[in-house]
Amino acid sequence: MHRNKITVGKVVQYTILILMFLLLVGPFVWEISLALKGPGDNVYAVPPYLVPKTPTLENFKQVFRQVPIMHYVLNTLIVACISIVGNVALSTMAGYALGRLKWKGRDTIFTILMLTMVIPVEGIIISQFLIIKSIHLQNTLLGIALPGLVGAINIILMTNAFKSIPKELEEAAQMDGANVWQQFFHICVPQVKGTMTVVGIFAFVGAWNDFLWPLIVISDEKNYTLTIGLNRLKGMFIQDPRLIAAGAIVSLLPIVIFFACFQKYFFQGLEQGGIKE
Amino acid sequence: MSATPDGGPSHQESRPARVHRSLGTTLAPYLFVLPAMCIVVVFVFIAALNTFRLAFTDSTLLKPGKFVGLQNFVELFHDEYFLTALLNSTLYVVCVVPFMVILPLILANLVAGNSRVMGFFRTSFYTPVVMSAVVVGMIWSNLLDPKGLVNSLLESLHISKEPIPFLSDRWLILFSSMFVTIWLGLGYYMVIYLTALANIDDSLYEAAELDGAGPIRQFVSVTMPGVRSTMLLILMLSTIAAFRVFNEVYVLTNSTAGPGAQDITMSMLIQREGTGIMARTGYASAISLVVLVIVGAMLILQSVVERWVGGDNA
Amino acid sequence: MFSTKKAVALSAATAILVSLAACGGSDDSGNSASKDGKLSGSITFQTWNLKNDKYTPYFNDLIKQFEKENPGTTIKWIDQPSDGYEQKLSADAAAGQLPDIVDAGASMMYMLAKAGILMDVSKEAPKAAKNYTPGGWKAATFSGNGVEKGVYAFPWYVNDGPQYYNTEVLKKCGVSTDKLPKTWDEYFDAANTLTDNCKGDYMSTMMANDMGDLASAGIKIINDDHTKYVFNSPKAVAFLQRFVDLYKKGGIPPEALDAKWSQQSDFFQRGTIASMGGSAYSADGFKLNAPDLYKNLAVGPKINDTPHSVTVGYEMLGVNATTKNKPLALAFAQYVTNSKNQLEFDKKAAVFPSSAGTIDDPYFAEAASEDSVKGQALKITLDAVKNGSASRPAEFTDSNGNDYYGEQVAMALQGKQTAKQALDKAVAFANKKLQQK
Repeated sequence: MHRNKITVGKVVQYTILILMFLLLVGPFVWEISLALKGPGDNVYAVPPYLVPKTPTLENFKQVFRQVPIMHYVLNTLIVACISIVGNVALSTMAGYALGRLKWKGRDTIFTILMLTMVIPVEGIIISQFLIIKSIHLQNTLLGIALPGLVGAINIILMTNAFKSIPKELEEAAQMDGANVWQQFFHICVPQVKGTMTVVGIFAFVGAWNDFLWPLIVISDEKNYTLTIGLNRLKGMFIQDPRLIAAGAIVSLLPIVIFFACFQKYFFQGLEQGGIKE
Repeated sequence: MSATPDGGPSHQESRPARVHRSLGTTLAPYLFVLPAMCIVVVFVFIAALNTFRLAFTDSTLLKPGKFVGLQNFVELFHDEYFLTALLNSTLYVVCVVPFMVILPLILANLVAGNSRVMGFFRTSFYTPVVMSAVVVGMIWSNLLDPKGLVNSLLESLHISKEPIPFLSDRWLILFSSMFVTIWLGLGYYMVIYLTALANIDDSLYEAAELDGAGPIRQFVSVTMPGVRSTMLLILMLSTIAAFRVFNEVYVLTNSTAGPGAQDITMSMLIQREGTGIMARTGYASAISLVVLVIVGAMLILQSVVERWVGGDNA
Repeated sequence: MFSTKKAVALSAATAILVSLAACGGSDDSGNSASKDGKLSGSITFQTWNLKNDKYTPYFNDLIKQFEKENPGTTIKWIDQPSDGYEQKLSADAAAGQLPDIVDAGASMMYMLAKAGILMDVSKEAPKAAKNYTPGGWKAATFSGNGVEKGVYAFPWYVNDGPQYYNTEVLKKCGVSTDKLPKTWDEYFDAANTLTDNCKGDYMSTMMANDMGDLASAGIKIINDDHTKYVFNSPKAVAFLQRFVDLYKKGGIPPEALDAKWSQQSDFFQRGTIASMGGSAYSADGFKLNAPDLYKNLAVGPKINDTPHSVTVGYEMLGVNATTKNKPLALAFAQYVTNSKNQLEFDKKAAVFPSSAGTIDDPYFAEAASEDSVKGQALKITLDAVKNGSASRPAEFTDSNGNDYYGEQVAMALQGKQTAKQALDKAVAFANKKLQQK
């Protein structure tokens, strides 16, 4: 990767990075601090303070005791996996056709996809639920995953990624007699692995954090996802912000870990494709 | 040249000599988009068609209505909240989109690289994106409160004497929400830019460096053209997102859209009219349709400008 | 675009607190239903955010007991989480799969009744009325504007609460803590004193944006046959004007203009406001989250110019009109709301009963005699719910007037319109919504 060697530049770069770090991660740290505060801490203190006076892990224990976390994590993982596989596979295929091939109706389809992103979810969620019900998938994990199985934004990202592959690569393959399917699997897909990873991460985060849709689809507790389950921590009569914060941290960690593991693949598209001369 | 396994009978009148291959080739694009389109058609398109139909009725959620022609639209243009929402959502696009296109690119450029340190920064910059909107709202409401961290900081640095009413002034609420939107969007669009950056050939930077270009000139002359199509994409995506803004305003105002609902946005208006037991689905659908038309127009405008300014890049 | 969008759409934490409380049935109601015909089969019973460490054992025991008394019946208990409850109800209603028994406040019950989804229990269980307090029964009675007159739910728990004060702030700002305000005149005196002495501290977030404020000033909200709102009377205009003046002086936090309950409580716990209305159980919350405040906590009755409390909230159990097992649904809904079972639940949740006579149980007097802030709060609340009523008509739901009204008040406080304009607009809006089918 390109990197300049000027020291002043480095200093500027790291200064900006650290400032951004504070700005972007600071609130998250505050959330962790809240989750660690014990009964001796005034969570509404003015000015707020970061280091708990009576640090405790009790809030986390409470979360695990009150909510069958592992069961809900498993449900959420199933939904997330269906969503990841669906989004990566379907949007890669569609993106290839839209970004790489010439065919009648291509622009129309692309425009329709763009427009679907504009449709407000609030307006169609009940219709979606009635569709899910009509195919008897209400109250199932598949029912949660299905409408999100392919996001228009992911198709568009993949289309864009396929567009940016140099034409020469394919032309060379065509000369060798590869058909469109071989070109897809052997030439193009390896080039867009980075974007596929991004699509996977977006799908994971989307499935993991969604609240309203799973709530509407699921009525049986054994099929709850984590977001719905953790909502229980909000008491009907008394609320404990520490508990809610602990719940939030518990639900965030898997995504942060997932992202940390996969972020390096954004950069692999180029190397694996081997276009570098 | 082998036949594809998926090539079924075709009605295409291709020349006999080429039939063998073109079956697969002509059908291929359709087969590639078919699975994705099935989902989109069933779950978005049909639902959206329903919205289109409802927009001309006086339906409520639990009682089907009758056709009322353009009555909903007439009512809409006399609805004081509609005009406010239109103004707020448009302002959102104008103010937020430029930041969304430029800042994440700069950020992506700063964190590109395979070192562990950069991996750490990338991960940490992405954390706001994964936080649930409720948590984001809770955190920023606390930070921007009159006695919150931001105001305490500004006062102790003698930048301001009195607490700044970030969460109670009609305009400051909107700007605070925009700030949170940008805060959230940085990590999101940074990730998209990162993949685009990875596709820029290193040799271009090396050549520029040989020519004596500094980091800023390299950014302008190599990076920017290299990610041009991604920039256009993010321009469109962030325009759509900005016009449809919901979460940030909703959580910062505790679901009320500010004093007197003066900070209401189009999506909040749809949510307000179109959800709940007595939802006016007909009216809400009419608003949805208007949003669709406006954003559609914005996208067309952008692509016209794009073609006019620069050549086809694809 | 951001995946979390929907999650928030729902964070109507505020909605939770809008309505709490109600009335109940007498102990024989469950059995009486089983006398005329043996109950059998199964139904679904849905509560709202009551499945947790504290209440789960109660409901499990309740169901087990019922199933034991009525062999061959199965009650499936489901519970919905805190956020998005109305959306969940509306989606289920649209799909025709509402549970047999649903838990909701008066507003949501009204909307479900208006949509024709709830059973008129006064027809199906005519003897039930005597088992509940008149106030509770009345709260579940809807009529007019497309609703056939009837009782559309069994009253369950009721709630009200006292006014809490932070004596540290009061003392600091020169307000006497010996005699806490009881009437609106006294309240405005205290608020003015506080505002004169302390800048940046406020008396409370009250600003007449709540029907409770208006009703407690003796202002009539809706006409007797519930066909027209009348809260734009000269008396109401004058009352709102007092808040406009107080706001202009800096006596109401600007943030409160769009604040709902949850933020009010944050403000109070942070010491920004000196007073807030709460429930009997709020004291426990303060003790947990703001120990410093708890040390300086005082409690008094809600500000009220009328003889009885007007801020009672009713929680109820509605029966799905299309239930496949009507006898069982009716029997179980009455069983949950009978005197014995209400009492048990009230003890757990620090709320109050709506079943006839239950409030005279020695438990309540005993709990209220406890010498603590909580005891005082319980005592005040106990007095309030005994003769109290709801101020907000069930028809005045969030979307059909309440939200709009709050917004108009906010604009009036900001000086963007007069108090009269605000009230006239709100009345016109709500009257139009009243006619909506």
